[in-house]
Amino acid sequence: MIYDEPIYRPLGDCMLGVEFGDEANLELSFKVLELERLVREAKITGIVETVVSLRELALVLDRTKTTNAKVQEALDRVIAELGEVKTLPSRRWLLPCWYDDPWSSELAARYGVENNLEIVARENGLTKEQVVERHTSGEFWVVCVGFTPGCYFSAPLDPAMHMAAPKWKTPRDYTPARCLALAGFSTGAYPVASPGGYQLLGRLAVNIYEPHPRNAAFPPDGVLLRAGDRIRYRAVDALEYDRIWTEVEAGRYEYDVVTEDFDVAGYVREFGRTSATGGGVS
Amino acid sequence: MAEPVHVEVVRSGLQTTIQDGGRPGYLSRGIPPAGPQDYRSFALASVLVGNPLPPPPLTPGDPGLAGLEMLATGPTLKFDGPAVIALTGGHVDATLDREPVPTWTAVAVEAGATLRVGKVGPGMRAYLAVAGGIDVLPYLGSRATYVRGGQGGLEGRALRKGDRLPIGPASDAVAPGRSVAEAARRRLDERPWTVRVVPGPQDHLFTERGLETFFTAEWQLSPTSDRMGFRFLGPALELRERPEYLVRDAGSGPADIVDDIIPIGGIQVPGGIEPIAMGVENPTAGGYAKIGTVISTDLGVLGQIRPMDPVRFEAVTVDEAQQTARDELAAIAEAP
Repeated sequence: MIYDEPIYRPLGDCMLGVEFGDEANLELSFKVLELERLVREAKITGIVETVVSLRELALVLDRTKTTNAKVQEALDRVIAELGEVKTLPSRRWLLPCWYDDPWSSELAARYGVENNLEIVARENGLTKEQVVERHTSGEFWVVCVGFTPGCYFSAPLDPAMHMAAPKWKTPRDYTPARCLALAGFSTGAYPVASPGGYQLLGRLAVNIYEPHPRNAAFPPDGVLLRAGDRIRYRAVDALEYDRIWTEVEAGRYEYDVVTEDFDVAGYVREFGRTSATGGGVS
Repeated sequence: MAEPVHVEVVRSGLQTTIQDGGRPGYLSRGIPPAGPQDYRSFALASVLVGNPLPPPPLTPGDPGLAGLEMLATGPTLKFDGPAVIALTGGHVDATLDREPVPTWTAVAVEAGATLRVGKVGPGMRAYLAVAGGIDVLPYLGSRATYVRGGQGGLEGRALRKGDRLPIGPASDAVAPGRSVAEAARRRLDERPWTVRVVPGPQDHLFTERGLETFFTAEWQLSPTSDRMGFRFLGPALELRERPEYLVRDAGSGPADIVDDIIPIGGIQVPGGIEPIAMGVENPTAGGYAKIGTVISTDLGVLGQIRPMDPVRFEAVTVDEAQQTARDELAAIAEAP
């Protein structure tokens, strides 16, 4: 649900959460990002860091300088100013991906599970080809960067692109870096080789995390994406994957990225209060 | 300029990592703060040797100078020049050239001496501070090792035999013999251990009985615990029925939620069993209900519990937790 009034949630003595709802609805993400912007502008004493998830703004507090009560009082005033969200700062990324790649297939075979793209296809009443077609047909909205360095959660902006899949029953202990994967409503990619449970769709030809950045697209912390970014995936074949990856390794790949505000009001007019899961209005 | 004193790692110990006050400010990038799991012990070691007081977890500012966190079995270290050290945290019967070394005390080390830390216990993590700090290259402003992320410290990893660590110049405040009063030291004798918790952010997803079980049961620390998360063995915790839209949006597990921020100390309860309290290398977001958050001062208690030790969780308010944090900082500042 989307709450009538945001709810404060204590996150121990170091952090405080402001939650707008508990469902997977992009309208919550827009509000969270707008509130984050206003909170940063307000420069409230004792708030030293802001972090967003799809449905909540979390604040790191300097507990030697403030208390939750003082911060909440200041936040109440900021929240009162929070009107309809019109635009949000955003970037549009075009990321090349080799769908149905050999690493993902081999991994599934090694763990004795079906090719994950087949699983996603069946779960959504599609063919493998239709899954790829749908997954590349429009933009995904990055709702949160986190879990591990550079990892992200994203949902398609166009509800017609919605697909869902369950996680692996038993998580695998290894996933190659840059594998693009889906579980629940969310698409994400593995920044580095790691355990995981999402269904593998393909492998990105580019890095989303470079802890010691070689490419100018990365900030010093090496994390490519930010909440509020938009990603469109472009299907590439083996030859193109190879060509791009060679450039990435040499540090001279040029990311296809455009900085462009996102027209939230226009989006909401077109799609209404759309759940990220395609479930419609709650 | 004189060649700095180096410490050579003769034996690595189980997991010896370089830590300073940590790397706050990158949660929105998925990067946890790292730093010492037991801040109090590390901070006291630091001030004993005249290093600056490091900031407490998640507090911005200069992270101070680096020392070592030593898990379960500490290292053997050879100093090629003079130094001043302090050992704190979990108890160790360390020796310096075979002579016993007092803990919670600043100790002078002569050139060529060998420090053997040995087994840690009671407690699980011991800390070593060296006057001047371990001077490896900072990563994103900090020398703290984020072990699971392979960042910071020495090549993002635990120390190995043969590593050589340069020591920075010591301050004028070095005074061997100075020690921390008994009362200010980390207590290691409490059984069951008490870990204080602020309920939330998802305590409302548990039934009254589930909450009562959590705060009354005697738990045991699972051996599969590390700086990322401390897992507890004990009874299942009852969760409320979830509305249909949450099953659709978050998953079919009884504790599944739409992913949100996990604070350090956040206690996830996947499937309603085996609560996991996040350490200083926490995953920053995740999709399981969190019954509460371990307060910042007790992250250090988590770091000292040995596998299978008994543990109880005690509910406190945010105000109490923040006051406790301020009191602890004041106590550390005036301890030595």
